[in-house]
Amino acid sequence: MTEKKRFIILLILLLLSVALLIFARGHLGRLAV
Amino acid sequence: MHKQLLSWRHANNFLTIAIVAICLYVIVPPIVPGVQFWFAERLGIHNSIQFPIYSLPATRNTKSTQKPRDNRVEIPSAHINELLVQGATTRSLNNGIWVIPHTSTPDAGSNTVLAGHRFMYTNQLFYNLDKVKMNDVVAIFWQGKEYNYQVTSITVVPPSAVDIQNPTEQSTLTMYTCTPLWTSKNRLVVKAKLIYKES
Repeated sequence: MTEKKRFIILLILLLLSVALLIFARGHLGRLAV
Repeated sequence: MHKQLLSWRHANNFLTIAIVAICLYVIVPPIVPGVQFWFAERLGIHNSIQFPIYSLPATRNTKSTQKPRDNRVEIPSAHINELLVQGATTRSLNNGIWVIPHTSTPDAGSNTVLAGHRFMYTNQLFYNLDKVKMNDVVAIFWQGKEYNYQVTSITVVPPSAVDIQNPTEQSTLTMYTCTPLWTSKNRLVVKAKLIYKES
């Protein structure tokens, strides 16, 4: 695998992890009273 | 060509570190309070307890015990020692354990209802509320006076069960948070009756 292809895969993973972070911070165990 | 390859590698290394850091941030904090509790129980360390209220005032060594000046709830068996906050909206939950408005307060008798987040990245005040057992003692410090309650029931109800906030004839403390852990599917409700009131 070339470094460029690896970069693209890592970039996609980074975006996914940021999406996971936003989801987790927003929804994990939030108390709705 | 060689320089270009190096710059791709540097960028990839940076991305890898960023991904690992984000994943650790997402995964580790939700389990830290549980791990802390586990170690504290086994090693006999109670870091979260600043004011050692482990028993009724009558059996306490008053010389070594400093009473908190702010409004506070303490549950030694669950290592909970948190500030009580009053406010009109759920934003108060971000600052401490929320004394639900339109319910009572410890000095007024009836049903005092407290709510707290189970887990958020910014606070985990009632994370260990499920560690509370029947007959455990809960201490409330309210406007300079101490109130001790004894746990009488631990139940899980749906979020729609607002009757847990209903007024009661006896002085009652109702504490609730989300359950199961990391979800807001149901409410874990701990009810306690007044057993000591500082005069």
